[in-house]
Amino acid sequence: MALSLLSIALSALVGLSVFTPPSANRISLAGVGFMILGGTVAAIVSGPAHGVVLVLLVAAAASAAFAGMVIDAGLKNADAKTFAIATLAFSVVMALYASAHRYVPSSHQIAAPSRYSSTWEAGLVLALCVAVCYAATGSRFSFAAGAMAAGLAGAIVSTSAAQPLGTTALIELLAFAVSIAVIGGRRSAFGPPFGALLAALALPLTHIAGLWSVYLIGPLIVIALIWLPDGLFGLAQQTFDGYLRRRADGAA
Amino acid sequence: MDAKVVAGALFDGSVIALVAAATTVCLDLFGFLNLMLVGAFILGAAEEYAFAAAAAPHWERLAAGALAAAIAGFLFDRFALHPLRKRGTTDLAVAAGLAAFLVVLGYLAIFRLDVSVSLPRSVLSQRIANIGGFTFSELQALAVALCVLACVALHIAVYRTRFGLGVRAAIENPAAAQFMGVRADRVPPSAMAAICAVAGIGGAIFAMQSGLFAIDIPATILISALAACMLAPTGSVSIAVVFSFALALVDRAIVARDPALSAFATPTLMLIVIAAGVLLRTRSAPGAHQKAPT
Repeated sequence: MALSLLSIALSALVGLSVFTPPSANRISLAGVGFMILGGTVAAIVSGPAHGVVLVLLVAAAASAAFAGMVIDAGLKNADAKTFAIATLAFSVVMALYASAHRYVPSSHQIAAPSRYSSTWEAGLVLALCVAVCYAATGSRFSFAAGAMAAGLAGAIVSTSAAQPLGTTALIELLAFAVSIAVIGGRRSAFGPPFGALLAALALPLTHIAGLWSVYLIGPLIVIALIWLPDGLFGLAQQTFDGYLRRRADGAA
Repeated sequence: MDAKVVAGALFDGSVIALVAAATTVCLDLFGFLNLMLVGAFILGAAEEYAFAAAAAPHWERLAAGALAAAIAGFLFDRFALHPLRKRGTTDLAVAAGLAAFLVVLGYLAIFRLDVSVSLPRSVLSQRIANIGGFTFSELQALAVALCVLACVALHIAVYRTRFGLGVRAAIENPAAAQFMGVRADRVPPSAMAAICAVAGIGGAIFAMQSGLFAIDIPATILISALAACMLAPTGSVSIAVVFSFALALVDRAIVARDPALSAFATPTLMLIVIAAGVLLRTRSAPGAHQKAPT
């Protein structure tokens, strides 16, 4: 149970990295890059900070948010295509830097933090990130807020430089982040946590489907994209708004 | 420069160029970054391995890789992109590309094409030719020839025929295209099939060289293809191909000089190239000097 709560929090944090509401038609593929950055910074800071989790999280969040602000400033006038290529390139380059770790002499290699974050720490971080993303909705800091969430996810799972990430795993992780955001609702900061919760609830079904679950995930996401472009949270919001409108009309 | 480095760069450049050409044409025609192309590359490589395990001839392996990628591309456009096209949102199309990538991984898992196998790859890569002191393997020559052929064929099909015009019409205005006699549910999927086939050929050629199979597109190939697409004007296959070969040559030269340095220098170089591409694109974009509406 504790593990699944931790995984829900992590999925939601990764899903928040896709959250870039100010510009229509844009999708951020930099989430995995921010995750690797946050994890690496946490690993670097771990030694001097004597493994104090709060320090690691603050360092990871600050570095990822700063990188997010720099990238966002550089891509301010970019169209959707350029934005997608540049954000994907950032993730691939971060993965390449992480792989380059094997060339560093073992005495200089970055060790992973000795302690993993607990469930309540992850839950607290998620609540904070949702609040920050909600506050940043529509502002020029929304991309940096999403980057911060992904950086914190990296720090929590300790995605240290010691674990190189192949491109298949990278794109799989990106697909996972985008799926969480799309199914939950990518226009709201509450959508990705909602999507992560649904994904966790659907987990027993994958055990029933066995190997076919691997085959079914992709088509299910496509169906969700076609029928629920604003996600389940968007649908719930529309339904609630419609109910309020009908009620107001009835009262009038 | 060492002739061996140049020969290696020609091979890498061919694979990068095939991915870059497919990506840039997709960006131009369909207007989004299609990550299904990575799936097409992997599918091409997996089919090549499956056919190599059955001791099929080389042309059959290549054809199988291209055909599997083309079928995947057709189905992706017909069942995922076609319904999404009416909404006109590119972010959903990118998400659909990622979902299609997961479908490809699922297909490989179900048909056990993702198992790690090691096959002898001796026939083509060991045959050596020597022209004027320039030594290269038969596989390197085949890669360059196939790259040029596939890219020229894609360019002609998309930019020099009525088919290409039909694709544009069907994507931009499906109703008007229907009046012109262009079937909006058949023509764009065929174009996507051709684009994915080019990426699949890249995967098949790459798989022919490597001994151990891994479901992966090397990160250096992907980032180089993205960098070439970013520098070249969207849809310009020839410029993307030239940049692909240039980037492969630079990468090989750095690796030959110091492999440890290349692990850091290559990503940094690609990052700089992509940043330059972003700068060029945002400067040349219409209305770039006007203040963005808030």
